[in-house]
Amino acid sequence: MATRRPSPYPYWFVLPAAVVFVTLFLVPTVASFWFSLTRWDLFEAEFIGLDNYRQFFREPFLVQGLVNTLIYAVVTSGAKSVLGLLLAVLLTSGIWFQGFLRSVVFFPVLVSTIGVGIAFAALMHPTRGAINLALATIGIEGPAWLSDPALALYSVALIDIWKGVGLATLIYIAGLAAISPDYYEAARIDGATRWQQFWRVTVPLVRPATVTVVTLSLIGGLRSFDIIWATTRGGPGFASDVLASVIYKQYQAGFYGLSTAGNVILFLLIAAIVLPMTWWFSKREVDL
Amino acid sequence: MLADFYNVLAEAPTFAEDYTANRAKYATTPAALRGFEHLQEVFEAGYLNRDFGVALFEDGMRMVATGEGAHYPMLTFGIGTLKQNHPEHLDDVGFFAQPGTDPERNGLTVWMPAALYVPADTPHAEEAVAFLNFVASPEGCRIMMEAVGASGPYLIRGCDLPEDVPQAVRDMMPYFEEDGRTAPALEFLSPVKGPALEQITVEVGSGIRDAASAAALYDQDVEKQARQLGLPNW
Repeated sequence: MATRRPSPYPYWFVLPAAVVFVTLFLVPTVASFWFSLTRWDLFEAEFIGLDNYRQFFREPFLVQGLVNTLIYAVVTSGAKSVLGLLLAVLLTSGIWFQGFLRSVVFFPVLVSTIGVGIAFAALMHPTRGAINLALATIGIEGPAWLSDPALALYSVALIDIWKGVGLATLIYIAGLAAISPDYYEAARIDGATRWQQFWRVTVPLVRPATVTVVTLSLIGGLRSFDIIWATTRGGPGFASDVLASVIYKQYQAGFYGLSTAGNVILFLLIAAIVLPMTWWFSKREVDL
Repeated sequence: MLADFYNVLAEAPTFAEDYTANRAKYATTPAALRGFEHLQEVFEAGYLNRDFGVALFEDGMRMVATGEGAHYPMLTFGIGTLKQNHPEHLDDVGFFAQPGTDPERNGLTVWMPAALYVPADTPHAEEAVAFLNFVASPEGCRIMMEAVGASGPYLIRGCDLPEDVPQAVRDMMPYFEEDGRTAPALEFLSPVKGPALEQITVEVGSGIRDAASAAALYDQDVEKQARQLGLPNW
């Protein structure tokens, strides 16, 4: 065990940060745990014990929302990592206009999520949307992307991947740049093919970037809300509801205590998934 | 489903009180369940347009205005949109109440005009009440009618509709002229209304869920609302 070293800073030096931390972070966190145990209409809070949690887990749409949240997080996070790495390899291979192409991939990250959602809702319109009109010219009848209950969640995930892959690519480009060219040279001397170089050199050595990308996009996917709300509002019915949209709808209906309980559950869920994952990743890193 | 409430009351006159007191349920009251069943029947009969899942209110108004669609279940407040977007078709669109099962008893479920409130502890109660009186006077009513157009009769005595109201409003008037041919919507008789009704009815109308399980789900949904309001017996 490491013993704690005395801080080099006097107390008055850390006081401003401590005030900000306590008032803006610590107090709201504790308050949210308290309000999740009450029936709350923003003015009066009546203590009702764990009733909100009981109610939240009885919520019939919640189970589907939870499953959808996990599907959404895994699909978007997986696709962003794989596509991000492939795009990063492409964009570090010295192709023409490399700098320009890198910014093109990154551009969707900068655009407003709500704007992207509205634009895609129009593009994915089953009879008047550009996607299905384009498919129709080659004789394919496109599906109802956002209004087919079996498809809606994946369509939204697709939009999310398009929008977020630029950030993953950027992280991977930085990761690739950190790999010393010596490894590739040694591999080439040993007669490794491009394919072998990718799997035996690039993939293992870009691991820190993979950890960052997977962790960030998984957390992003688990708490994802804006793009879903802008495209399907969790519908049709509850087909693309995720935890965050279920919670939002409880706020909208004025069930403040109940939705606060939902937020506590979301916080615990993210912690329960991400903490073991980062622990596992860092353990593997030591093994390498 | 909400517009079917006249027919619910015709068959189960005490439904609203029983519902508020947690004695009557949608799933177990046949008259109330029928509203969900009609949604399912419409889907199964294939009457819906192909892209109904993404059609919005304005699409619906366009379709009945231009004749693309035959029926659109909507309140007469839609007339404002019709007047703005398709003024040339304003008189092409008619209106009738949602039919029930008994052809002898046909009537209209009515949504009440908007209400105005004043905070009880306002320092300017007199002025606020004077303004409310003006809004509820025949003159205030006439000004509003000129500005937004009439979507139905007013509750203010002396504020009569002009002769040239749109066809849909004209179709609506006979219901008000006879006794017993109108009933308020459930939300004016009971505070119990679940937040997920919209999603549940979308599910039934899109063939994702059947009427019986939707009614049961909705009964479960309203429990939260009743408890949040602190209603007795929930």
